[in-house]
Amino acid sequence: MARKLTRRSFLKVAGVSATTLAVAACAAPGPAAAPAEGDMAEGAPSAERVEIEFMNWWGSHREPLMDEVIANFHDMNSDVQVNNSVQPWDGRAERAATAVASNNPPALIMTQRVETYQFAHENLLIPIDDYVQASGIDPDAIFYSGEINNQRWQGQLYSFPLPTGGGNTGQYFYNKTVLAEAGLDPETPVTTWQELTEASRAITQKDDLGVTVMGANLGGGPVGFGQWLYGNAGQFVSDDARTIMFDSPQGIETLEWMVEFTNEVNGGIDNANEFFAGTSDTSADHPYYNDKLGFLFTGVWQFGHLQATDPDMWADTSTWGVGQMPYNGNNSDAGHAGVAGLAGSWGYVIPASTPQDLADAAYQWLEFFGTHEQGGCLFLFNQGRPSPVAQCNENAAYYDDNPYWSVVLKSLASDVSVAVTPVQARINDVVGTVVDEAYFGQHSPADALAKGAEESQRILDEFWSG
Amino acid sequence: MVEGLYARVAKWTFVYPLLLVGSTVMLFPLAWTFSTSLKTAQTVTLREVKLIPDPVQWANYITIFEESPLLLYTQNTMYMVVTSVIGGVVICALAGYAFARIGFPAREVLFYVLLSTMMLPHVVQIIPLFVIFDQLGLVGTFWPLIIPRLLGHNAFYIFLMRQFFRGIPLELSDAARMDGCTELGIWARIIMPNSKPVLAAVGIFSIQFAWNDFLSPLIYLGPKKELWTLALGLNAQKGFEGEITSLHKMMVISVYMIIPMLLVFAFGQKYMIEGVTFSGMKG
Amino acid sequence: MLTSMQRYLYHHRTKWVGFAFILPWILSALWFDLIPFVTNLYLSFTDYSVSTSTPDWLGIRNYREILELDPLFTKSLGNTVYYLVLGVPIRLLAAFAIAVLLNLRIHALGTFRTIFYIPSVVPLVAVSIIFFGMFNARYGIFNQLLILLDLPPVRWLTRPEWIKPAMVIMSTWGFGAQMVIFLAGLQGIPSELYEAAEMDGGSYWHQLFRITIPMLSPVIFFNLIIGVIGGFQVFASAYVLLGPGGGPLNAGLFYVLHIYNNAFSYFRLGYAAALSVVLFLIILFFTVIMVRTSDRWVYYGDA
Repeated sequence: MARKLTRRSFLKVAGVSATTLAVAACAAPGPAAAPAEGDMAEGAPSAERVEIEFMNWWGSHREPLMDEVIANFHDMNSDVQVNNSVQPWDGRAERAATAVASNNPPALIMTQRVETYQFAHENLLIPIDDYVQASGIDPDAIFYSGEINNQRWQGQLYSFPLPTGGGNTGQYFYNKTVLAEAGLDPETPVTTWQELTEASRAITQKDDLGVTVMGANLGGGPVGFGQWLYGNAGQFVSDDARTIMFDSPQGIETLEWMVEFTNEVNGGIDNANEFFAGTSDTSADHPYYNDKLGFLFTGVWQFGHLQATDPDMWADTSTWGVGQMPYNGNNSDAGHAGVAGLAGSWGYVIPASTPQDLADAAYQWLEFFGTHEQGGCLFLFNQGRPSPVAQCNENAAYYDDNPYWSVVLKSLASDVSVAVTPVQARINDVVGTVVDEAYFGQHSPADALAKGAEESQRILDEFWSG
Repeated sequence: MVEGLYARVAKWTFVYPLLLVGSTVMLFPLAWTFSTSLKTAQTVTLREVKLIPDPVQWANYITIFEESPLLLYTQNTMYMVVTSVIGGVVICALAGYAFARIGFPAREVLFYVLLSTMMLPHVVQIIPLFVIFDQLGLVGTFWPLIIPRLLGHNAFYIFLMRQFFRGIPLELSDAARMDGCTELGIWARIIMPNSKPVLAAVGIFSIQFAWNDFLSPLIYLGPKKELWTLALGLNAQKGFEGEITSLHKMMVISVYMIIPMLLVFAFGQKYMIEGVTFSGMKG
Repeated sequence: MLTSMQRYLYHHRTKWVGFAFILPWILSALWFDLIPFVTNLYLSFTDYSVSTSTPDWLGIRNYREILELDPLFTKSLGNTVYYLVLGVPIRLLAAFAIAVLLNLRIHALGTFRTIFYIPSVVPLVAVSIIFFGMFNARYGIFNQLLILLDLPPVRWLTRPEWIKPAMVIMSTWGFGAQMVIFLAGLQGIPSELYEAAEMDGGSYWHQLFRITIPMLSPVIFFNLIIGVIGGFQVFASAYVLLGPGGGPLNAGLFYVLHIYNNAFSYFRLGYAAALSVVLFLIILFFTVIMVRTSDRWVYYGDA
């Protein structure tokens, strides 16, 4: 087990590398200054202590990590008590909607990007721009631009991003054992669609019941399609979020390739899906951990899953690797690209009905959690995944544990933030349906995308005219 | 009554084999739940039918109490069940009797209203109901879970009781009426004692629905962990984005939740014991 | 015995007593049914999201969108009707058959009854996980049985055409509540009726069709109505097994899932309200037909 970096040693490393950097200068005082402030604050009357409910879904093995971060915050801010209110995952949307509509809401609610936009659009949230300005933070200097823009709706900022909204699709994971068994060179990861197709052909094996060893599953839905679309120099929607663009020639070529690959190499979409049925990348029986899957297209959270689910594999870095997302080698405009904020992209919002003192306290915690090295940076570091705070990812300890860290940073830099509106959830479902229809042969990819684009455009037009 | 030979043969060639096959089908998923609860993080999987785990990790049943405050959740769940179920069953039985036997103006219309309350999908009622309880300041208490049940806010139970009460011979209540009983007296002396099977059924259902209910406790008790119920504790085992990191632990809690309900059922079904004779089966 | 005139006079005198009996229910219906219903009826004519400000009045635009623009309305309604037509009769028959068997004088009666009720007490989260395993095309028990019987294995959850049958299988497994209701109903049949039939030498099947089923008709009627009302609103089991999209090609996107997505994924609560009002009317229509035609085949002891 290579990675057993304690919090203290991380802070040592981080402290040295971060002292001169923006994040340390802008955020709350660093580790050295913290005890002093804590002592001073203890002298203040304790009745002033404001208690806030921090409603989130960081359950299971992440809950202790969050508790640790909250303890760090309490060490430095004795005037605010943060209650870590982890909620059960099921019913999340109902819970969030009722909480936001409540007279007595939690001071901070974890929401996806599209939900943030939906709530913000209905004036249900407090923008944090004033707070940010007062505390002298320059968010654009601290965060990757794609990340911070994912939390802005119509010019106003509603949260700091955490975790990364990008890093969902910019890189892929491969299993060197599987590649070697198929006679491929495990040290040369694929860079183009064409190489990926060829490698998958060599790896994939089937029997009467379906696939037994798989090269790659290209995935479906809006994100599955979107991640390949950007690898073909395509675009989902125009930058002003007014014109649907995924039915472009690049889009059609992308979906045609996805369908052809899936039919030819995997024997159909049901074959591909069935291969993963009943498992997930957080359970030990997932094909990737059992040397049955060559390429795994997933987000940076996979580092945490790998640590938690298969510690032996994580420790033996000669059995797995990370590459940048393959692109269409036949398209000279195409290059490695990731997609940020098409789905997911979490933030933490303050409901409009929150009383002033609680809102102040909520921001105080949000700022720590979003920007401080002992806040969100530590929370993500403990999961082996990158932070939206660019500087935190320069921490040398990341490189010690993960020989592929530079690939991760490159892929983050390749991320494109997709412009979305509060109606993106509807558009995503429309795209998911038409991609399915192409996979199941109900429509040609071109017809499916044309149909999806027409409906999506209608939804967008209705939004902008409304 | 003495059973005929034919009936006995039919039982042993037909009824028992059928029930045994059926029981296997019904028991298989439970057996599977139980065996999964005894697996380890490394051996737990949905992708294999293996009813005897290797190794058998009984310790799961101990460690779960250290990881999750199950006793507190049990206490809360029982509090919710006890405070709402008994009163709720009585209220539903009164209403069911009125719909079955008491003539009152607009009874037919109100009966349709009763049925129609089951027709609006719950998902669109979540927010309006939440707003009601939020304005009353009752979010974060058990009241939103108790009040509707105590007021008999359950058309299913009322309708069910009405159907049964209508089957009780009129002669019985008429006799009581001639003895000077009020409607309440008839209800208490004639209807209730003759309705043990349906009362048992409604009792079983309401205990069990309250026990397993997830969404309402989530919405009303979500912020107050000290009030959480078992269903919330079970679901909290799911991780971010619903990822299942410890299937065996979820199954431990499931088994823990199933056993009391099986005891409730085994106890309640005893009130449905007027077994019909089989001797009529003569080909 | 009272004459019908005496009964009439009695009821006339006590006609307000009935209201006292249903008063708590009326209170609950006013608060917890009427308010949500009127709210939804109003919202269905608006563009309400989750905001606290007054929503814009749209007239019947939501309803026109349902009928003219929403491909998932017909899709989800069709899925629901398919599930209903296949699932409700199967479930009812299974529950009835087992209840009749479990009402015989047999050994280990309580144990058998408890076993058949077990599926109904398993928390839904666990049910969905179990069935996910059982429906697996390679490892699942259903396909292993099919292979054992030399039948072709089936892609239960990854082929659109098998999603709804899979849902029917899963819901049939949980027939325990209907079985209990049938069991309770069987207790109400006076044993004299069977004894009399026996004297006449009626066979078991004769008794079943001439005594058991007619005497049980109020309960059959109940289970049918509840089955149809519940079948139109199938939601939680589909949500946990298939997710909000209802599986490949929306094959398991049932009507209430579609409402749910509009309400809690798109936050189009006005549109979701319109969808739910339409569903309400559809269910009401079928229920009224069933209630109106019930006097032809349902026999009550007080008739």
